[in-house]
Amino acid sequence: MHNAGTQFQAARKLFPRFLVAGVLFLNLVVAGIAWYTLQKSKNHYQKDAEISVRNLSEALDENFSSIVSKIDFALQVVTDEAGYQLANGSLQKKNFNDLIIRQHSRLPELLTFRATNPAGDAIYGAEAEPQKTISLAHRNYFAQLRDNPDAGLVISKPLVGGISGKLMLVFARRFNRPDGGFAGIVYGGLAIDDLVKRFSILDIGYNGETLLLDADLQLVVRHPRPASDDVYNKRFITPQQLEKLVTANTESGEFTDKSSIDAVERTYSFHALLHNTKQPFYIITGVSPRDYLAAWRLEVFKMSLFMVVLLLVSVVSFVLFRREWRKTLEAQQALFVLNTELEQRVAERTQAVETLATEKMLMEQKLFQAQKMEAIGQLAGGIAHDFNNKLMVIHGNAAFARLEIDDRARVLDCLHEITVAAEHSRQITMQLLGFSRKQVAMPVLLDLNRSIEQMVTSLSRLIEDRITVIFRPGPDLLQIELDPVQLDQIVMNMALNARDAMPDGGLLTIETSAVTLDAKQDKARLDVAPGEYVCISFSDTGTGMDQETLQHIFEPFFTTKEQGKGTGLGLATIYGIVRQNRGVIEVQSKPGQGTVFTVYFPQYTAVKGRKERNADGKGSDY
Amino acid sequence: MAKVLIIDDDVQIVKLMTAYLQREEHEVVSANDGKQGLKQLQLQQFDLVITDIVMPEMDGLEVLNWLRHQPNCPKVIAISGGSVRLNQDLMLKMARFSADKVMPKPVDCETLTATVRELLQGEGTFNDNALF
Repeated sequence: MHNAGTQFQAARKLFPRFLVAGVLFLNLVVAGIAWYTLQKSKNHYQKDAEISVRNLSEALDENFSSIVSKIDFALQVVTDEAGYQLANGSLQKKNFNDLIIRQHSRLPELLTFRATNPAGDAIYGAEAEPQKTISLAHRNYFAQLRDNPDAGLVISKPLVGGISGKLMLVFARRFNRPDGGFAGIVYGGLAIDDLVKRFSILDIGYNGETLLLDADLQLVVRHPRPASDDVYNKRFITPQQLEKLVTANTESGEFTDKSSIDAVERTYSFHALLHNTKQPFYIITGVSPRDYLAAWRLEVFKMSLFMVVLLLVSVVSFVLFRREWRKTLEAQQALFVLNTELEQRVAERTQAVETLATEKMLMEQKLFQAQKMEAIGQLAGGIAHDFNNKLMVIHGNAAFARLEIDDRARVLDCLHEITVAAEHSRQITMQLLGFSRKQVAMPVLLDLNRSIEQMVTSLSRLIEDRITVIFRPGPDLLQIELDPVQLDQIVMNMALNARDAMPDGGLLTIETSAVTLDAKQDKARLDVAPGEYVCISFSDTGTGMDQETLQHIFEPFFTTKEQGKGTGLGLATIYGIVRQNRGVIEVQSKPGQGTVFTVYFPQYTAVKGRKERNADGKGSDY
Repeated sequence: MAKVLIIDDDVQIVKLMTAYLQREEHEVVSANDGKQGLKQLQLQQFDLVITDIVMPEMDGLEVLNWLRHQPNCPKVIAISGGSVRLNQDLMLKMARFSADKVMPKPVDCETLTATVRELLQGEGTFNDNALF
């Protein structure tokens, strides 16, 4: 019990742990798969973002380059005309102005489009009256162009226009006198807002940014427009990747970094404009993961939700299962304990019963022994009484014959008496031997009716006149194989018992008949093999017997007769004879209603008889 | 010449004893059990009763008991058969019921005849040798 109990405990502790481990493992596997899928998805989104940001940069590059070339073309037209007129004398103001105005009208995006004299006064162009004009001499790009005949197209830093007052980029070219000396510049101002507008056409997402940097990596344009203009003309705090790309004179590339303007991390695409010129520009388009990973974040959210639900379901299922499992386990344990107790009690009871049974058996043995001793005493008494009587008769008659030796008739009578007494003694001996089984049975084929008929005649001598014996023979040819002495014993004992049962006289009926014993009906009642039987019944009208007596009548030494009169062997002897001959005996009796003894013997048939004799050998084992 | 009642369930014994007593010229009446014996005793007066002790119906002891309460009690010889143990018990009882003579079976008939003669001749000293 202890061992099994420990096993229960161990199982109780171990099983939930295994279950928890299993459930957790399952959850982990699912989570791992989810994570892997999400990572894949994220990479995919990132790749998409990189591609789209590159496309954006290229589109902007296209846009910006085209406007720059348009402006440059207009500037070159004007400088060529100026150079041509100066070579032919001087600038014809009206004609020159018209050219400028015409060119300007082709480029409406330019805030201003003018030309200056060598001093820097913007005196050519629309509404360029001397009183309204301003000098550009202080501007960097003017000085740059004046001092360098080969400057080409110069693009200024973002600056606030002297006339328009707006933030703008100035594109300028110089024109020369015929001797190559500085004659002035032609310039056009492009509003930063206009560029911002152009940039804003392209979708870079809510958190994206588009930057235009000049060759010094200073901010020229930013979309969306920053909150303060302070960021302009300052060096864009470039990340190392950008520096590397610029230093390596690369045309394009990608990198990821935080913006120095709003500190948002973005994936940037870098693109060099006007590449291989003195004044390259850099377009940088950045898209924020906040935007391009928004869909992915939704996926993550959904996946997380799924994981949480899965975990919750697992945990709840586990808790519920464990509760049920514990209940079952406790029930099993309780059942086990009960079973064990029950088994123990059964064992105890069994032992008690066995002890009692043993005691009872011992008592019964003692009692039986005592009864046997008493019975042997009775038997000895009865036999001694009978023998003494017969001895006395023999002895007395012998003596009497001697006294009357001359009286032949008396002597013969004495001798007859002696013979009868001796015969009687022999019968007593036979009965004893028959009971002690020393006598060897010698079965012969008997005609039952005739044998019994002969016995009934001699029965009359044994039984007093008060009792009438009737013999009702059954059909002829009832043949059995039986020792005639045994048949004699049966009839004699039955008759004596009937006599004793009828002290006031009565009727003893002896009947013979043939019966067929059925396996089903008679087996339980008679305990005998089914078949053809010959039956002898002895019915008396005597006192009958109660149930208690009926149970013991076939036991040796059981007698209801007075001490010294019955040996208690009569019915036991009959029982032995009947069983020895494969027969059976049955008794029916009730107090006051007489008794019927019925003896069954197997009917003799020629084949069967021989066969059984062979099989049975001496055939007297009972 | 005396009148003798023999009570015994064995017909051969009755016949044998009758033969001996008749040879002594006694008048003999026989009965096969105690009941029949008592019937005879009530009918006529006997000088001597010889009774077996173990018999069906009424045994010899009852007959003895009855006889002892009669005014003219005849002489009684009780004959016992059976085992030694049985004999001893019965003889003690017999002493109480006062048979004149107790003889164990098998009885020698000549001894019996002698005893009968002795009992009938003498005044029958009461119980003098009942216990041998």
